[in-house]
Parts: sequence; structure tokens; C-alpha cells
Amino acid sequence: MSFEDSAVKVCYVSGGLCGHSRSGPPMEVQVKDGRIVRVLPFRIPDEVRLYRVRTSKGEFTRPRRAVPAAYILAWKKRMDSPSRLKYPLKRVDWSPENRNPQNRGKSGYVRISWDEAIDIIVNEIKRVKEVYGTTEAILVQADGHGQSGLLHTFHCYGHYLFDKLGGYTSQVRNPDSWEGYYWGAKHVWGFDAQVGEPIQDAIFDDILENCEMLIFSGCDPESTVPGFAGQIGTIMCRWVKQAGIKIVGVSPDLNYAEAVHADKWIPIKPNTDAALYLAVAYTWIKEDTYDKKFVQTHCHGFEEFKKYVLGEEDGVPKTPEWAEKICGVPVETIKTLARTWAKKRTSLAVFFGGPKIRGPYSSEVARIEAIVLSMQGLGKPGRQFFRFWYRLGLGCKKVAPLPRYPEVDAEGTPPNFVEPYVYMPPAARSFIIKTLVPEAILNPPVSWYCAGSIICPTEDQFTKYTFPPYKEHPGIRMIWNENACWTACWSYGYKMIEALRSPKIDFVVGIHPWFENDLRYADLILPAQTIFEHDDIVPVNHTDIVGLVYQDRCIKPVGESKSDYEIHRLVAERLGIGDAFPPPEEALRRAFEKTLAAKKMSWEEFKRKKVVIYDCPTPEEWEEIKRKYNVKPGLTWFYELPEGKGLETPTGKLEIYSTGIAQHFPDDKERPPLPRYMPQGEAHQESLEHVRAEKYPLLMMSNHPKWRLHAQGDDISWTKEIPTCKVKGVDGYLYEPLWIHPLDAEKRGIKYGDIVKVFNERGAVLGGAYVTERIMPGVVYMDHGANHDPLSIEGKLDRGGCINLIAPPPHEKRIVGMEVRVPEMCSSGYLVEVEKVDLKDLRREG
Amino acid sequence: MGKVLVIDVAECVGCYCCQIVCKDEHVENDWSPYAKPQPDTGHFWLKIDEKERGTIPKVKVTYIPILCMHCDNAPCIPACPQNAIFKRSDGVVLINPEKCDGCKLCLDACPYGVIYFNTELNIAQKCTLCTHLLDKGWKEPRCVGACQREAMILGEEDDPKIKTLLDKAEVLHPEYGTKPRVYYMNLPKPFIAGTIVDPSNRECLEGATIIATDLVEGVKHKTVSDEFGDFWLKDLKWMHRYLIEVSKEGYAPKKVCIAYTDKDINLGTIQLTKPI
Repeated sequence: MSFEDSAVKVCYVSGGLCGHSRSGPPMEVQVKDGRIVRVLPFRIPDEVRLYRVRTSKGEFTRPRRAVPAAYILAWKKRMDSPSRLKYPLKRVDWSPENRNPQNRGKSGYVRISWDEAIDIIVNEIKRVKEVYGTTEAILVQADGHGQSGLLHTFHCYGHYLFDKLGGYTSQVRNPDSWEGYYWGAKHVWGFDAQVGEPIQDAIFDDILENCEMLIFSGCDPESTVPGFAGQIGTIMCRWVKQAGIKIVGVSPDLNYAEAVHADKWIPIKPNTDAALYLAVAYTWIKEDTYDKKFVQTHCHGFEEFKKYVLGEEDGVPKTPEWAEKICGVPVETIKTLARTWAKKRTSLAVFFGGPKIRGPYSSEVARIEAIVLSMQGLGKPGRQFFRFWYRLGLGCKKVAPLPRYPEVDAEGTPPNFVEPYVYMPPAARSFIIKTLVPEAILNPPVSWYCAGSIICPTEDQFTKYTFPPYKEHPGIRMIWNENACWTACWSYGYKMIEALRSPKIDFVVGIHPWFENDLRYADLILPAQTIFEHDDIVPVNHTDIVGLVYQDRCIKPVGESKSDYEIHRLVAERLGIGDAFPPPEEALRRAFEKTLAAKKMSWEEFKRKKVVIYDCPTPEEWEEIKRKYNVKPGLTWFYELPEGKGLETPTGKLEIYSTGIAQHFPDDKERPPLPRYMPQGEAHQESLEHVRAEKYPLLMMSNHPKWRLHAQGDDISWTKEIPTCKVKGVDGYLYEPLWIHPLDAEKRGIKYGDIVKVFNERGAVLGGAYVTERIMPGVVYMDHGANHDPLSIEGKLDRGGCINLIAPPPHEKRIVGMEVRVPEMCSSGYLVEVEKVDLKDLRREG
Repeated sequence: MGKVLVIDVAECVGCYCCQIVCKDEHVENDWSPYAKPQPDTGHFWLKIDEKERGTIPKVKVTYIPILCMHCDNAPCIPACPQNAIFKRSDGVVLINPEKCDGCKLCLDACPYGVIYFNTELNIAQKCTLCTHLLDKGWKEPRCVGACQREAMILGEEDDPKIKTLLDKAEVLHPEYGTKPRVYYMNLPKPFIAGTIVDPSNRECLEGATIIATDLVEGVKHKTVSDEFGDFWLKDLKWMHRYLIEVSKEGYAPKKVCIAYTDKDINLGTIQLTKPI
């Protein structure tokens, strides 16, 4: 960018919100006189070679200009948003002598000094050791997404700190972006390192060349992608259209990608995809239009599945007529979908799987989806499981989805030394899977299967874990919270609030830049920084290009805020383990020196040059790389095996009938050896067929939000002027939109802009009615992550529209002592009712 | 000669980056003499006009960026009693913030509604095409520079490349007679859509012919249903009445209805039956 004002300084900052030291492209920030003047999209330097996916239809590449999301471009608004924390705060009625846990969420806060804050922390940790005998009474919640500099904003240092102190209880982040694939599809095809989704190595080479139809199912590349990687999803959708691929969206909502890119929208009720898939399978079996040979050589257990589909097992043939009543898709559409899927080279496209993969019994949906894909010859040209993915990690085995040098993926950006705490099974012996944390606090002991970490062997789902792990364990007495968003982003946030306010919890520490969500219930709050307030490295490795960029501090830290890293370093120093946290400059330099870039320049040179984006291979080099690494796109290698034994499953084959489940849980009715359509059961009663539906006749569908990344960015005044971001009520409050079809709205006397209450037995949230044709009748839709703004804590009424507050727990009927076999997160597809709210009835408590 | 802005509506995916970066540039930044800061909220010097079209399941969303049209026949200019609004030689229309006395007559005069009032500063404000940047050598205003789909192009109207685009483009509301310098390609035309099925065996009917006859102009628009029985008649005209007829070999032809395109139309499921 040319400008004549030499007083303007250009700084690069991280432009991603994944956290975990993984960023999209940077933003270019122009600073003058100590303030940010403007924020521009990054431009990949002209000398960098971009990738080109070469097909017979032409070459596909990306523009040089980065495509950050609107809320990333507006991120500077968060530096001084009204909720920004500037100083350490202590709850006015909390003291070591008088803790008043019942007032959490209601009391105000008083400013204290950093010295006093650290004193309190140090003394509380000492007290925990004295009173309870072990620091395992401290629960560390440090696995959330966040700002994505390499070092300073990583939500993880609590694990490292308390590990060095000698023990703690780890909150293990369950695979929230993959739930059904993890708890279900892994049993069909393995892919542990890819969290239950088939590998995406060089996938675009096949999709763009051979695919004729993409079924978008839990797929909105115009939404979630931007927060992680920039809106590269929009570029990929352009490739798909240019390649002449038909897009059919199967979803309860017409999502943002489907609204502009889809050729057809098939509305389907939440949680009923299994019924649709079964009817498709039925049609193929009856019409003999599936890959019989592949099913014979590459799959295990098809005969049992066939019996189930034809109704020979339960007397219910899974016909299109049967499915229509359940899922709402017309019979003729089901039949045509089946025939087109068989005839055209069809792949299933997801971006993490959306609401479909995060509903009740989504394990069964994912398994049945894997089976129907198998029936058409998974890995045949154009027949893949396609993720719209862009990086090597968590998605590929040997090479990236797009042309990239493997050494760039391996060594291009620095690893963060604490990353394993978030993704790998805990080394700590005391841990709780995140979905069961409220129960573990309120009603221990809790037993469940599988450590639940994102990377975990499938077999671990047959291992039972218990919290507390031993009899003398004191339970959870103190909470160290770097996440700030359990209440807004996990299921049944009201239960977590109950746990946070429990008298069992002596002390809650919250570390975050803003007063939002979980922080409302903290006793001590430490103000963290935004990415504008410290030097760091931007690890450009969560997008379609790889590089690293030196992040210059743009502005002075706001108030007395310190970075997450510095906060933990300060605490560590006071506790005598400061050596574990090297000075930031040193940590960054050491990290840089491990990278490929360091082979060509020194640390000082990098700080001057600022931008390193690695070249991509030429199309010829890419062919050579694929040859060298013996890579064929996606699952092509598997399809080409004469006998399909090559998967990480016990038989090596696609296990339609899961041998592992048959061995360990042969009588499990809710995740049986042969998957089935599962509307309800012991764990969940969220079906329209259930008696609860008489009181709560609507299905709530919830997705990754369009205008935030989960809970991040709900306080940006400019995005809140966008109609699908917030709906302004008559009271002037900006409500979270509640999408409702005109038929359902009319029945309830609801018009666009009305304030509505969304509720079930678990509680209620308010929203602004967004009356739209983009959602099916019988279904309502509210994105998760809106900032929790309680009107009544005891009355469980929230004004912010924090919908996950009322989402179901992993097991509805769990009692103490009962094990939870599939502790899945269930944040979409559950029963609610909606009614218009009278403003006079709204009262703020306390 | 002069600047023109060409926007391809077919490319716009509703990312809203243009609307946001306009605020990034003009909130809390004083670009006098071009413009004073706009308030934090309430102004949309560039605004996305989001239109949801059709009914379930035949629904599309169209996004149209609306900004000052920098008209050659701008009614705001003569409306201003202070002569605060002027047109530059490159076609850009600006409001001089020093001369504006807050009378709001320009807001009333503008048929596009793209002038906003700043109550704190008591002045009228609008898009400046980021001339404070262009005059310093920037190639593009902020909105163009942030567009994820590169759907917006700023150029010189004499440039042959731009001329080719202008041939395919139109202005919004030409009937206002203001001669805008902002052009749009692929402005939405109404669609009439539906699905053809055979209810006797519950099958989608592929290959049915759907004809929409313009009842005034007589023009016939024809399309064929796809494998899902779906059809979308596009490139129709707003506020026209069309007779919709469907036919397929082996089935009785059907006069479905007369459709009036004051909005996009989903005719729903159209059943064809075999003749007796």
C-alpha cells in the first residue's frame, strides 16, 4: 500500500482466532501516534509462488489478497470495548475468610493491584495443599480458542504451570468440532490422527478433477472457516463452481454458503440425517445401484446392515416413505438424491460437520453416513469425504490438501511447547472430560469412557475413567479458568454456572481480556491482552499458505493488562518456578530458530524483514512430491487396494458392523455394534416423537456463528449492525437472532424484531425474532456463543441469547455412580418452545 | 473521463467486509477537508442491502453494496443552500464539512438515501470514494480493497477494459435521472421456480418443459426441469405477469397459474398426471 505519510508505521498482527498457536494470514495494521489508524487485508508478496491445482478443467489458485472475515478486520474495536478488563479485580464479597460462593454472578468487583492479586493466588494454592493435601484439587480450564499469536495469547499455560507445581486436574477438551465423527465414524474407518474424518491428502486434485456433485452436509465454508483461516472457504467454493460441480445442500437451514452457492437446498429436520441416509441405502439396494464388489472386498458387516435397512431385523423397511415422515424430505427427492448420488461422482462435503455432528446420538448419524459413502466405493474418483480443509495437521497423513512442500508443513512454523496439553491424552492422572465437568464438580464420582482428548486411539473408547481417580482425592475445590467460555460454548451452561457457584468451590480465577461469559462467576480476574498489545510471532499455519510473520506491538497495553504468557510467568516466578517460563523474547527466538526460515536468516534479520511466506511447489513439483511420498488423493489409495485392508480398524476394513463395539459393548442399545436410526433413548430425549415434544414442539438448531468465532467477538459494534448478527428489540437491546419460519412465527403471534423467549426445562434465553424462509418449519435456529447476560441467575433467564445454556448434557438421566458411555457434546437438535415476551415481565435481579 | 465503480452482484457473498472497512477508515479518523469522522454506529456510507428471495426450499440471498452514486446530475448539489456539495473533475461528489451547516436538505434530496446526518458534529456525511487516499496514490478505496471476491472495480470510464464491463452493467434506478457513476453487473432479476413431480408414483420429473409467457410483451421464457424436477426461470422482468405452463411427454399439459413478479416466486410442487 502506498502512502505518503512516513509517520505511519506498519505492523502485522495475527488474523486468526483458533488460538493454539495457529493463525490465519496476518492483518496489516497501520499505526500512527500510538493509535491504530486502519487495518488492511494482508497481501502475499509478489515474489512468493502461489499454489496451482492443475486439472483438465484448468488451474485453480487463490488471489494474493488475503480474505479476512469482517470481524477480524474490526478486531481493533475489542481493544477498548465496554467490557474490556484493564486491572486485576476481586469480587467485593470474596475473601479467604468469607468466600460467599452463592453470590458469584451477582456481586460487583473492586480493583486491586497485581501484587495483591498474585498474593491471593499464591496463598490460595498454598491453602489448597494444606487443607486438601494436593494441588489436584485445582481444575485447570485452559483449552479454548483465542487470539493466535504463537506465544502470548495461547490458552494453555495453566496446564504447564500446575504440572510444574506437581499436579492438578486437567479439563480435557472433548473433540467438540468432530463429536459424531469421533464417537461414531472412527469405529467405521479409524483415522485417529484426523479425529475420525478421512484423510485429505491432495484432495483437491481429485475433487476438482473428478467430482460431479457435492452434498453439503454440515458444511458452511462461508462461516466458520473465516475465524480460523480467513475466508478461504469462499475461494474454494469458487473453484467448485468453476469446476462445474453441482452443490446440493442438505440442512435444516439455508446456510450462508448454500444461500449463494448451492444449486439445490434439501431442508431436513435436525438429527434425522440417519433416516435420510438409510432410505438412500434402501433405494440403492432395491435398485441394485451400489458398488457391490467394493462392499464385499473393503467392508465388514454389510449383510447385517442390509437386513436392517430392508426391515428384516426389526420389521421396519427403511423406505423413502418411512424416512419422509421422520426427516421431512419428500419421497421423490429422497429417491432422486439416491439415484443421482449413485450415477454422478458424488462426494460428501463438510466443514467440521456443523450441527449434524453435534446433536443427540450424532455417533449413529456419522456411522451411517460413513456406510452410505462406503456403498458407492469410497475413494473412487470423485467419491471422497471432503472437508474443505487447508492444512496438514488434524486432517492429512503425509501431504497437505493443496500443493505444498512437506518440509514447509513439518518445519515452516514453530511448534508451541504446550500444545500437547490441548490435543493429546492427558499425562496428568487426574482429569475430567470437558462435557462432564459440571457433574464432576456437583455430583462426583463421574465415570465415562475415553479420555476424550482430540487425538486419541479409538480403543480408548473402551477404557473406563473415573473422577476422582482415587478415593482420597478431595474433588475440585479451585478453578483456574483461561477459557472464559464454557458457559457459552459447551452444553448446558446453566449447569456449569451452578457448579461455579457451588460452595464446594473455594476460589475461581479468570484470565481474559474481557468481562464476559464464565468471568461473571470468577472471584479473581486477571486482565489479559489483545494481539495489538505485545510483540509475538504470527504462525501462519492454519490456512492455505504457510509462513511466519513478526508481530510488532501496535499500541501500549491497555490499563495494566498483561499477556496470558506474562501472567503465568509472573505467578510461576512467585511460586519459585519462574525458570519454566523463559523471557518472551528468548522463547520467541528459540521457537524461530527451529523453523525452516531460520536456515536462511537470523532472528534479527527476521525481525527486520517481518514477513516470511513460503513458496508453494509448481504443479510439476507437486506431482513429484506425490510420487515420492506415495500419495493418492484422499482415499483413492484405499479404493485401489485389491482387498481393502489398510484402515486403522480391527479388521482393517470399513467396519459397517463395529467389531470393537461388538466385543466390548455388545448389548449397548444407544451405540450398538450395528448403527441405527436413534431418535431417543436413555441419554437423550430430544426427538419430536418423545412426549416432551408436547411442551417443547420445536427443534433448536445451533451452529458455529457467522459473525463471531464461537464466543469471540460478540462485542463489536460494527458487526452488530448486520441484520443476521443482532436484532434490535423495541427496548434498544441488541438481541441474538432467533431464526423462525413464518408459519411458526404466525402461530405464536411473533413478528420480525419481537423479543422472544426460547426455553425448555433447563432454562431460558431471550432472542430477537428473525422471521425467515431460510429455516424449516418446526425448527428454530440460534448460533451459539452470544455473550451471557443474566437477567436472573436462580430463575435461569439470560438476555444475551447464550443458547448453549439450555442445550442438553451428555446424559440426561445420569445419576451418581452411573457411567456415561458416550460423553458426547450435544449442542444442536434439541427440543425447545418459543414465545413472544412482554417487556413488562422482564426484570433484572440483584 | 472520470472515475466509475463497477460492482458484480453475482460475486457478492455477503461477507460485509466492505461495510466494515468503511467504518474502519472513517470512524475516529478525521480526513478533513475530505470528511470528518463518522459516528461509531448508525452511518453506512457503504451499506450491504441484503435480500432474501423466494420461499422454502427455493430460496436465495442476494447482496447489493449501496453507496453514494457520485451522480453526474446529483440532486444534492443544487439542494445545498451553502454550496457545500461539489463535484470534482474526476466525477467524485464531496460534501465540504466546513461549509455544511446541518440543514439536512441534501438528505431529503438524495433519492438513493445514501447521505447520513452526524448529530454530534451537526453535518451531513457520505461516501467520499476514499479520495483522501486516492489523491495520495492509493489505487482503490477501502471497500474495493477489502472485497473478498474482488467483486468491485474502480476505474476510469475511458479505459477499454472498464468500457467492456460497463456494456454489461446498469445503474440502480435509472428513472431517477441522476446519472450515477456506480454501475452494477448482474443485478437480480426475478425468478420463478418450482418442482415437477408425478404424484402417482412419487417421482421427480426430469425433462419437463416450463414456459413463462409475458402477458404484456408476449416474450416466452423456456426452461427444462432437472433430475430433481427442479426448474428456475431466470432473466425475467420485475412487475410483469407471466402465464406458467408445464408439459412433458406422456403427461397432460398444465396451465399452472399467472405469476406476478413483484417478488421472486416459488410455485412449489407442481403435479403432472397422466391423461386418462
